[in-house]
Amino acid sequence: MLSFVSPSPTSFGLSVRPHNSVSTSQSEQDKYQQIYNRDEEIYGDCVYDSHNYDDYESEDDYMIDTEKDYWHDVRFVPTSSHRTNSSSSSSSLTNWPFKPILIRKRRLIETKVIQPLLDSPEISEIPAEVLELVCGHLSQTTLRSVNRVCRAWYKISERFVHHTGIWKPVDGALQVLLERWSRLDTLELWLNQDPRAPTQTIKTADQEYYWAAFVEAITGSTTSDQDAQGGDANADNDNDNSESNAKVSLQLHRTIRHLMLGGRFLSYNDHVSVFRGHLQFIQSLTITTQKRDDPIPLFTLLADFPALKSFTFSIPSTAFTNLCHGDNQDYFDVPANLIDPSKNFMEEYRLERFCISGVMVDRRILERLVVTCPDLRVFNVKDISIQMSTPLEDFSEEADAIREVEENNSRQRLADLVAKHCPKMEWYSFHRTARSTDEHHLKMVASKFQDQKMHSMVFDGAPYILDTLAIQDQLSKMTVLQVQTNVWGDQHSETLDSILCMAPKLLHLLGSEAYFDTKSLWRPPALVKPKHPFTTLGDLKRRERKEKRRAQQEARSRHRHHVPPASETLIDDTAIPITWKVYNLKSLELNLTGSVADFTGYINRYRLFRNLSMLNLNISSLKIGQRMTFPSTRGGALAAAAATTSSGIELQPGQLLRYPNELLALRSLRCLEECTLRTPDIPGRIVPKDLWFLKRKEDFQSVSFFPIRNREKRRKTKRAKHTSPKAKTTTTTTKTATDVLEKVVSQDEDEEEKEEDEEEKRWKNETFWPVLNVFHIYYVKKSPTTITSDLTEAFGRFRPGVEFRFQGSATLS
Amino acid sequence: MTVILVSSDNQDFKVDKEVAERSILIKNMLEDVGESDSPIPLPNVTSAVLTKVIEYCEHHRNDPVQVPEETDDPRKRSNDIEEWDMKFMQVDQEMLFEIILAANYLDIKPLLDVGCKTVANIIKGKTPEEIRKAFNIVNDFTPEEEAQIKKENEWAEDR
Repeated sequence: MLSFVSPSPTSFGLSVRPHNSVSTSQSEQDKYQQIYNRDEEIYGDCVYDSHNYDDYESEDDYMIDTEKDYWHDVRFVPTSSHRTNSSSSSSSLTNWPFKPILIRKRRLIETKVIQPLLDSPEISEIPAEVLELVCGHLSQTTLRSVNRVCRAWYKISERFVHHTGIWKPVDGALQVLLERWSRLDTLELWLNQDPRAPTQTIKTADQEYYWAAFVEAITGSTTSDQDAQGGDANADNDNDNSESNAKVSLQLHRTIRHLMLGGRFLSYNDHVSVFRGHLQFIQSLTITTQKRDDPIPLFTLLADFPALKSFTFSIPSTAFTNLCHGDNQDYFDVPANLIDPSKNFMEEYRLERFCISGVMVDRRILERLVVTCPDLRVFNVKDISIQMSTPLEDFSEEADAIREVEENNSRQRLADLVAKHCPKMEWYSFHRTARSTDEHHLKMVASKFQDQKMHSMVFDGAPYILDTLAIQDQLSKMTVLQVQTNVWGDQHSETLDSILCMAPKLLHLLGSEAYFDTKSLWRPPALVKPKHPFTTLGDLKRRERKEKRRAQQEARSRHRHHVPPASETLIDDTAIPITWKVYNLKSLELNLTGSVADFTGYINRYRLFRNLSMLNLNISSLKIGQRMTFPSTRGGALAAAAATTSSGIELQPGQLLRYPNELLALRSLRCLEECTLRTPDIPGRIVPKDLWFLKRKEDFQSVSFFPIRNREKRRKTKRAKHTSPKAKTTTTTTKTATDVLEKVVSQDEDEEEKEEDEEEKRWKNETFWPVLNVFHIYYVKKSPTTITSDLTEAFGRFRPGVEFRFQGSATLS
Repeated sequence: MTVILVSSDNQDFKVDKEVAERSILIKNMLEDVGESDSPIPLPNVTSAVLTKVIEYCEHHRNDPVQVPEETDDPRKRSNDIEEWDMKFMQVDQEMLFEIILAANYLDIKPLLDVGCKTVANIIKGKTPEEIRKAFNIVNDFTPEEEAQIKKENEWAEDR
């Protein structure tokens, strides 16, 4: 076993944590340049001649435990340890490889494990109760595999599988839907749109024709009946006569629990209230359509669907939709500036989640909602426009001031009401359009809802930096963060970066609408460029290795007689973290602008996302596979020229080069289950072999393991044994009594070596992303030479059980 | 203060009250009974399993009480298992299943979760055939039935 040697902390040299604040002294920067290992950055620019995935592990060190440990070594060498001959160590490689000091810092991150070993000789039958409990931990994709195992498993897992029926205004959709109708629990309706071709609008006449047929099938009523029904939907909902009750009982769809409306044009009367009485049991209603005409009658809706627990409304376009009461409250003509006491409404609804965005609303509607829904847990309102007493067209300063006061008052009042009437509130968030979330609002939320751990932040106003130190307490408790920025989100990247530096408990980052510029990621000070131009890739690598060794040796020697800097700077360091602290993140959604390699490099450098199970990234381009040149065409020549300048490597005509596979750098995400990448452009030609790295390597019983040892270090140790005698004598003669630690460790070397060999074998046999379930790539444009069907078919062969999708789409939403 | 637990094969286990109260079942029992030295019978748990369960509770005695999952979203489930727990779960399958059942019976949520995640991790990302091999299951579907389920699953993915 690896022996951890842990000397007392007092004997340590103080670790120098470089930071990007102004106070970084020049000497620290210099020192840091020495320690900093550029290998972790370089792969983004490397061009590999061949991709032999069978042995890429030994070539590309995108591993977990490669370089980082040297940092720890360097920084944690006892101050009293012996002095090496610094001149010889820095000037030449004669005493290379230096004797590694096997002191490992205990990992900061709690070690997490993917899977235990279960190589039991006899396999016992899994009890049904256990399987039932386990099914709750499986994703839909896996459940679909599970229900094909055997009859008993089918019976158990069937309850956990979601059955979604999709209606769209195209031929045949209705037949498919009706065939499966009795088993459905979720219904998706696409209005005037086919989700497969999102850019095309379907003609209104076609939509109406198909819709009428659909409604008839569902409600069992004729078109004229529906009109009558739809017509009185807005009226008082108590006037259900006996005739319609009889009809309802015939066509009550008990199994359907979730209704989702997507597409283009929604009219509440035509598309939602027709189901009143038929879909009595729906618990969640999600509307994402663009809507123009009639307002959504909120309380009619709540009365129509009494079991409703979740209501989500969002609008993809910038046009606002109105939200109204939907009953006689609409006709009370109360001046907007009158603050009436919150009414004692008699009704009570079971709503638990209320999420809306892109809505124009009177504040009284929200107040009424809060008062009548005591079970409300999530109140997430963003991008809304509140009707004010001062018209928005009035641009005078005075009107602005009035609006400001009015808005603050209504905000305060709403929060008060929520705090009073909704004891179960977990996530309160309120955002008015064109106003960035600020400290003031967050502090107000903190004072009303002390234990709130979920937050939404929207940055769509003028660029400004949120003072994260002011809300440090909240950030340190936060577990879920929903972020949204406008398209010029680069200006807000710094804010987001600093938030992530201060949110150690964050589990879910929902930022599919947040643009994040990788330039904002903190990086060590820039390196001095190598003096000699390289000619080949071999030269480049050799030179890097040389420089790395020299830098490490110098850093080592410097740190041995390192004088700790003044304590003030150290306090600064710990108070303001400069790197992301989101070690426990489970899901990540983000729109990345800038280089992906920067991002992956950052992840690896700071060991982030070891527990990430869902990754959903929008990236500017995915670079895998063969770099294509089309010198015969003008566009191709230009593209080739562009590629040449961007990579810095001269592209010979006719010589084909490969993109460095950016995904390989994500190897450390070993808990990843779902990976979705959306990109406008995939420039390279991808053949099945380019995805070979995802091949399932282990056999079904063996399982993933946990890497304990540092491969890089091991290789160097091995090499140390075969080096020239001169080097050996140097190391032995420089040994002093203070080197006891090294001696202790060296005794175990033989045992370790055995273990290491074993581990190396396992490294090679470990599957890339071992528990992957879903791997989707969506693109707008790809190289014409990439054949999608080939990829899908081959992927199914070498990684069965994983849902793979490589799909083009018109938009990336 | 200690509590005596009696397994199904009549073996006595003397554990600290604090440890025993990791189990909600025992905690509720103790609250109902009040201060008493009478042993608590656990007829559904054998001594071998109870030993393991107590080992787990001893290790996690100082853990904070688990908060419920923050989101309802089914895709957002945690899949991390701590290193100690992983080693703890390195038992044969039969024992693993029994631990899960015992955790369910004794109402020890974290242990139940760890056990279920352990089994879930074996199943994840595998084809039906591979799952059958892993759990030694015979496929008793007729080809027609299998085709039907496959078709059903394909519909689910289709848009």
